[in-house]
Amino acid sequence: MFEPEKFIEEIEPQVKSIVGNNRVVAAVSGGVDSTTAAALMYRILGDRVIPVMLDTGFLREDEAESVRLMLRDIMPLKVVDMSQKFLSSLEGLKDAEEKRKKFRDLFYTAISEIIKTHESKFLVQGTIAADWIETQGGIKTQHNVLVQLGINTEQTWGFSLVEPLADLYKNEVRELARYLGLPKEISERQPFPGPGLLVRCVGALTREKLKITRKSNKVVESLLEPLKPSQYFAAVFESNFGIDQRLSEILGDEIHVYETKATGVKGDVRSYGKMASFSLRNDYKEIREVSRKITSGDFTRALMRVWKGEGNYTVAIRAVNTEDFMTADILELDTSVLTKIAERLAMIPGVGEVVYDVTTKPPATIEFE
Amino acid sequence: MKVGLIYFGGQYNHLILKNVKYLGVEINVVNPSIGIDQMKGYDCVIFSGGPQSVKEELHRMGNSPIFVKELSIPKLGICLGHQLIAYVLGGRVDRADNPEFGLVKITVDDNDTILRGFPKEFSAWESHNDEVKEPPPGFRVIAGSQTTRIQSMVSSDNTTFTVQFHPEVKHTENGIQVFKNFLDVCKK
Repeated sequence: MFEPEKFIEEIEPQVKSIVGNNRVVAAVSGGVDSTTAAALMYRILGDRVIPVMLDTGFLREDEAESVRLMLRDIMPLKVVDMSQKFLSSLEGLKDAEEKRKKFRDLFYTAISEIIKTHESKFLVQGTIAADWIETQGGIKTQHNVLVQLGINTEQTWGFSLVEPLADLYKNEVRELARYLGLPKEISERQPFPGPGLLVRCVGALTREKLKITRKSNKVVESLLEPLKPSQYFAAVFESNFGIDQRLSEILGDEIHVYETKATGVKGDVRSYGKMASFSLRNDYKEIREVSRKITSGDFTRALMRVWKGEGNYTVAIRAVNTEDFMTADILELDTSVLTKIAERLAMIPGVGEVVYDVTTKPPATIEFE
Repeated sequence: MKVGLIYFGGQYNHLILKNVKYLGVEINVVNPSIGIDQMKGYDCVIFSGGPQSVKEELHRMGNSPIFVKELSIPKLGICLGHQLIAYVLGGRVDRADNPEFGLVKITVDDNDTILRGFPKEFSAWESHNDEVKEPPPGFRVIAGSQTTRIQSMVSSDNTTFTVQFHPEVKHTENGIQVFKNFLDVCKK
């Protein structure tokens, strides 16, 4: 079993020998990993650690301020607003990997400026095992994985990386956070990806779609939070679809195939494929079988249609259970619960369809991009 | 005791490393391109998962075919490792008729050796495009699923074991038992 005490004993001398007497900047996204990494370093190095949060424009509603308040008694968080720069540079980009890589460049260019301002040469970040494994395996480019890809951060951006959590998984990070005595709202905090809502705004980034994504996430989070899934959110994409005749015949249903693609992982290989949807049903044994048949071919996602109206965008509800985020199972949500969420989402202008993502990981990843 | 983990770049390799480490056994990652003489000092070996297809891409898997044939220590093959062992020792591996991703029900025919302690049916997690179609000579098939006939095999001398599913991920019920069973054999 993972033992936080032993872990700190091992990591403390390592960190001290890397950093020496220098100041370090810690990048905090507000998720559990980066916050725990920063707090651990603050514990070891005291106020030589400067925790910084970049407002990339892809945070959830009021997130920057609420994270700053949450950390008030632990460390003084600086929030730097870069949202206009990020939005204008990423607007219109469509391919998931292109979006992630551009985000990474923008992120580290901005952070390296901050590091220089503080006369530091070190950046602490909350990279965990799942991040570098997926990036190295070519599944998706996690923005915070650099050294493991052979990127020389010193040459490119002028700083060295400190990644104290690189060997841990999400459940172990939470145990460490509890051991460090961090408040529950941090140790049990819902994970949130570094590129934030950018990867939930599936396909081409537009300001309109981002706005719908932000509103949809608020609705889905507030209604699913009481059920305590490991991860839950909303992803948004254009509703344009065609009908797959072959699959429709096999499954005796009308199978819609969307133009937008999503990321998956099949047999250790990245799969950036199409998404298909089928009509609403109750029995999860049947739902899992339909999902299996759809994804054993070219598709990476099987979505169940919950509600259809007027409007250009589809909102996909995602809710999964997982401890380490390496594999994930779907939550078997009742149609009554799904319908209730859909009713609320339908009130957001532009939303014309609500679906429930019923794909496990593998073959899908947890996030859509 | 020291376990060698032959690394092919699969998503769950690091989980194997941690599972064995947490069972209190020393385990090192081994790059399959090293020579067989550098494998001295290992008491047993695990061939892990990865994106390769053994039928077309065996050349991308280093000296692992030599390890399979010539190392006389206990071996465990997982996913790609299962397919590698089957292929190198004369079995047949090809594209799966029904690739399995995610939850799969495993039916156990013989819950002995590597599957000791498993019930007749359990839930496992999988991620594979290829499958073993025919076992190599002298291997006994001890588990299957509705969509993949060969989910686990054992050699006749009870030293080489394979599983198509991933015992190292949390969603596989009691998967850790596979590692406990294997380490028991290694200790002997």
